[in-house]
Amino acid sequence: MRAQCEGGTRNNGENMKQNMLLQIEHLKVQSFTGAELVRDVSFTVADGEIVGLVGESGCGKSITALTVAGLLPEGIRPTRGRVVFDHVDMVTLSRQERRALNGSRIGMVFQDALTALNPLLPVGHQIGEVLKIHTDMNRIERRKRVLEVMSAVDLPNPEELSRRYPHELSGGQRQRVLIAMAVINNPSLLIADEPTTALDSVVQGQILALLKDINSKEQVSILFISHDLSTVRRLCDRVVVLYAGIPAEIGTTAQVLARPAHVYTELLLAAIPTPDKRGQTLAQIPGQVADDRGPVTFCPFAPRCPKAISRCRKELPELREVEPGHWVACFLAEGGYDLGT
Amino acid sequence: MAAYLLRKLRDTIFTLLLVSVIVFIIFALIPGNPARIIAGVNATPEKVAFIEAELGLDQPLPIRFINYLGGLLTGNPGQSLRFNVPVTDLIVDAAPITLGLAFYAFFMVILLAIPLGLIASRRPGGVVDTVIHVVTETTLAIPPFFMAIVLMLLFRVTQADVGGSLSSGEILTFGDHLKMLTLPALAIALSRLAMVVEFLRDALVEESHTDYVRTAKGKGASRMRIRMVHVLRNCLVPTITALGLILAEIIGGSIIIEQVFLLPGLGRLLFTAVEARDFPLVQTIIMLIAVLVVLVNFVVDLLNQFIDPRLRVVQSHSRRHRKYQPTVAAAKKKGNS
Repeated sequence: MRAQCEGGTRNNGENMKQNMLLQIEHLKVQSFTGAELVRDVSFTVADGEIVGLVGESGCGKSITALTVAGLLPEGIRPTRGRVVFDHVDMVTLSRQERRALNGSRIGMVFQDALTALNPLLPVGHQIGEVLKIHTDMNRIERRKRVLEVMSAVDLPNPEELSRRYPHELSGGQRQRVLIAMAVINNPSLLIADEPTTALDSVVQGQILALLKDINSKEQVSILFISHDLSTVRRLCDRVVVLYAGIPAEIGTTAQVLARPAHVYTELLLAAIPTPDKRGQTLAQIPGQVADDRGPVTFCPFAPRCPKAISRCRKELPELREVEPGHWVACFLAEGGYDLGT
Repeated sequence: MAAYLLRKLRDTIFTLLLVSVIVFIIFALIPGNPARIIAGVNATPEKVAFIEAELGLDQPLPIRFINYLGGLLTGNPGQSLRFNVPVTDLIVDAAPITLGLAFYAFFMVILLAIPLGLIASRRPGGVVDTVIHVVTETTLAIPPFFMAIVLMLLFRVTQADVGGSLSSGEILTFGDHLKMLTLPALAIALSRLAMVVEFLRDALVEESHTDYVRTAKGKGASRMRIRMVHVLRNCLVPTITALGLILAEIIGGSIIIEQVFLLPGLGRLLFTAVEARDFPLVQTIIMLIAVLVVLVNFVVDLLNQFIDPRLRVVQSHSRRHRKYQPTVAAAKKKGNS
């Protein structure tokens, strides 16, 4: 076993006293063909913490989230490692035990809220369904609670809106409906898979503020999946950067985004348009995540890395702590690069 | 909604008018003078001319068409040439058998297809799915009239047992209908089953990979709940559309089955009427079937709109999309735009 294990459990430094709500240890997820979709991922989410999982398409961030939620598509399953939620390894749970957690203690918010909602049912009905599944509330109690949670997520005029169908709502409203569904049973963990990707920037900001609000009011931990580092910057306490199914860098948002230690993170940040880069050509990372889904024997980013040395193509770097709570899997990151803030 | 109904009514009237014109023209064009048939082989030209005048056949075509249309609209399409009784009397006697048969077969299709589709889609490509596919394909491949003969042999029933003893106009109870029509209905139902099962099964398989199903799983919904509350509902629109087509087919296509079982329904009546150039009777039966088919399509439309709220918006706002069959895929595209 490689050093990710310690990285996964120790990287919280000062947060050690906090209860670890979710611990992912050496998770490997494979498809039925043997392709490694997630290779070796370890990280933790503490009570009340917002952890961002970032990376390009195909890096395994959504698969990791779906594994935690127990919603992997048929033919894809975890083949190694543990996903410990509140001291229980969820990989070993039966389907019924998993179902009891989903919608009650674990809430899911998906991207593209139009297709994520059943087009034929009024949204109020769809929010209330979660109560129907997990509680003994009667119709009237359910309705009351649905309207309550709808106004809690800032949906205007819940009475009227609850009777409308998904296609009659705006994108932002639909996303709020999905969030209402996820939080109605006061979960401990919210998994948000690119919840703001399909929205325009104003609505995006509102949804991020809502998630932050839910996190601070209800002490809900959030696992936030995104390819967009600027939304992660606004929302997350800590960040896990994934590359090709392996964590490249783990640390607090301030550490990772202000002092990126991995060349990949550095390049990701350089690719974000900001006011001070006005007039310059935006940096881009050539190529894409390798399609090769076999076992990795050397740094998977090396083929695209402009700074790669010969060692990068021979060995697989392990996660090392470059400063308290800041872990990186890169040979070049001895002290970390200080880029200033 | 009111605007939609009005438009639908207007379209329906045009459809029926067109059908009546086509039926009329075909009958005006085909060889065989009804007056000559009535008069007999040895009749004098004077006698034929006399009968022609009596039937109004000596008048120009447009006048004849207006007379015929007026007769239909006032519910008095005239006398049958062959049977010499009012056409309406003949139809009132024969229609219950045909409609009873059609609806009986239709409900058999529903009762068999929905469970079969649900079972087949549980494990796509599995043993059960394959067996259901092969069996329904087989019943599809066998023509209904041959299926009818096979069924009669299988259940040791003769034509006389089914419809042979029946005289037209006999008052039948619901029980009689059930007993008499079971085999003919089964013969029809078996041949139509495959299409509905396949439609439903494919829709169920496709829909169970959608995002809203994943959302429902994320809510902790049971497999049963996901299938019955979410997936099945989303499969109803294509299935109902398919069922509507099939009901129209069954209504129009019961002629042969009625022949095989000697059932005195509209099919047999139509058969006799065409042979005898009994144009008032033929035209009325065809118009009746046309009205039924249009009515079925209308009900299908209403049902689909009831199930899928997106179709309500589309149908009342956009004329251009109205003619398309409301499929789930099309509805989704519209929902996205």
